[in-house]
Amino acid sequence: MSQSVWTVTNLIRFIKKRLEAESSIQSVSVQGEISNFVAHRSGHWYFTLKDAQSRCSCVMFARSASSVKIRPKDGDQVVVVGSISVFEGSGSMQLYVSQMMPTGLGALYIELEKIKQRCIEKGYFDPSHKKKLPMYPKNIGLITSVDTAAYHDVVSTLARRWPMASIKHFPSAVQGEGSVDQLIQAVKIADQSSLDVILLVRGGGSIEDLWSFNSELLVETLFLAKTPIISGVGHQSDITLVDFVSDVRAPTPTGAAELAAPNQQDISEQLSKYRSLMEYQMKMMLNQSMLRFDQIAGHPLFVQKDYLVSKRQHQISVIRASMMKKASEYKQMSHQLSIIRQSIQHNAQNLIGKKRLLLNREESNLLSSIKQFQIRNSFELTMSRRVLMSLSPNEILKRGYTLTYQDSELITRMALLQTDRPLKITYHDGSAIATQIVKGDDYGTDDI
Amino acid sequence: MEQMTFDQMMKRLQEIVTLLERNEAPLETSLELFEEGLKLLNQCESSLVGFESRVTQLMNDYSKGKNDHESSL
Repeated sequence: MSQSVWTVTNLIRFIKKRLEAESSIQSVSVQGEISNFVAHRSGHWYFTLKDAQSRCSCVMFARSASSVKIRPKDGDQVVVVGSISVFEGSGSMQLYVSQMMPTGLGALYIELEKIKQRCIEKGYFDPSHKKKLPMYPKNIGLITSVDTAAYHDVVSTLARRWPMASIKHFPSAVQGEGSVDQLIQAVKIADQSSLDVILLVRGGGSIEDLWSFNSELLVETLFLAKTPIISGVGHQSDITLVDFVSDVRAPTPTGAAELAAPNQQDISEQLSKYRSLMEYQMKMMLNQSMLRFDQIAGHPLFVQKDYLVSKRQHQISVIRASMMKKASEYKQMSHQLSIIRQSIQHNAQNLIGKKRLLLNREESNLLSSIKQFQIRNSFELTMSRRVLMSLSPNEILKRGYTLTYQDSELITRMALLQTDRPLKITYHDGSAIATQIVKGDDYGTDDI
Repeated sequence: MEQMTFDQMMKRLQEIVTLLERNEAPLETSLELFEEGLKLLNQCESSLVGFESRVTQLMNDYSKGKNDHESSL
């Protein structure tokens, strides 16, 4: 023991922990006689299991108790399956019972557990070996005995839900002597009958009744079968090894039939839904196609006959118009040019004419000026001549004046006159020579 | 030319319309395209009419079959 002092709680907890950790007594089958049996209002059972030497208090909770087929009473010999633990409140060891059966069956149960373990080890219950059920089976095999409730349940359920499937019955005893061999034979034949699914069913019964369904050979045969198998044995609470090896386990024969085939009404509804959807989809597609088609067919390309050429015609007319415009512009320009040329010519001629006129006028002016000048000059000349002439001594002479020369020299003054030299007197119409010359007034000048 | 599906024909039609709308091809090519387009239009139209009547026919057949079946039950 440890050196320190334990509390009671610690001690009990320690023991409880130790017990619960011991796997060999955590799922244990115990045989004994029931005493002090109490069925509590809550549904829990409390009792003591005893034999000649020892006793053990037991608890069976309502959930487990409800599945026990017998009603135990004090003095009954039973086999229970449970786990050992300690109830802390009283510090007493208790067996927590999960299953209970009469002693005779207890042996069967123990045998069943052994077979089950072997099957598990061989992998017969491995989920990876489960086959998939067909959705819509055409050929359904039914293995069960003739003219039983299970047979009628399956047949009527299938007739109601899925009448299009044909049911092939493989009759076999489901309990008693030879039933295992019959069942194995039926499964083998059914498996070779090209079926979509096989139903292996029977009604409820005691563990002895159902014992054939725990046969290791049958389990092996089912495991090796190629056809999907649905088991439906007894009632909800009856579980056999066949249920573990089958691909799908149904709680009852009716349940097996329901799992085997769909309900035709559901399918019919589904089909009508599909039909509506299909129709709707098809019509929609059609409408869309028509719309697309109309869009293209209504394109001006296919509606306006001149669509393809009209654009080009338009282009051509645009080009033509622009060319015409250019042409008219050129025309206008050339017209303006000729106007300008004319105006230049006209102006030049005008100018030349004017200049010529001016020149002519100048010329004639000049000529006339010259003439006038000449005239005037000639007139003046005449006049001058006349004056000149009038001033000529001759003219003067005409008026009675004379010129006197002495030795060809004109005597203009008395002083120049020499008496001793001849004097030449010139008249306008000739001359005379005077030889006698007297100076002074002696000669009667007054008379002159 | 191998038989085109409705979708293929519609696709080609769309292509032709686009090409013609673009108005870039020489007039001769455009004319060829136009001709092809008209042909396709005709084929599409008759296909559509065919589809429609086939759908109607099928629906009628279906209803008739259903009624026959139900009345026989």
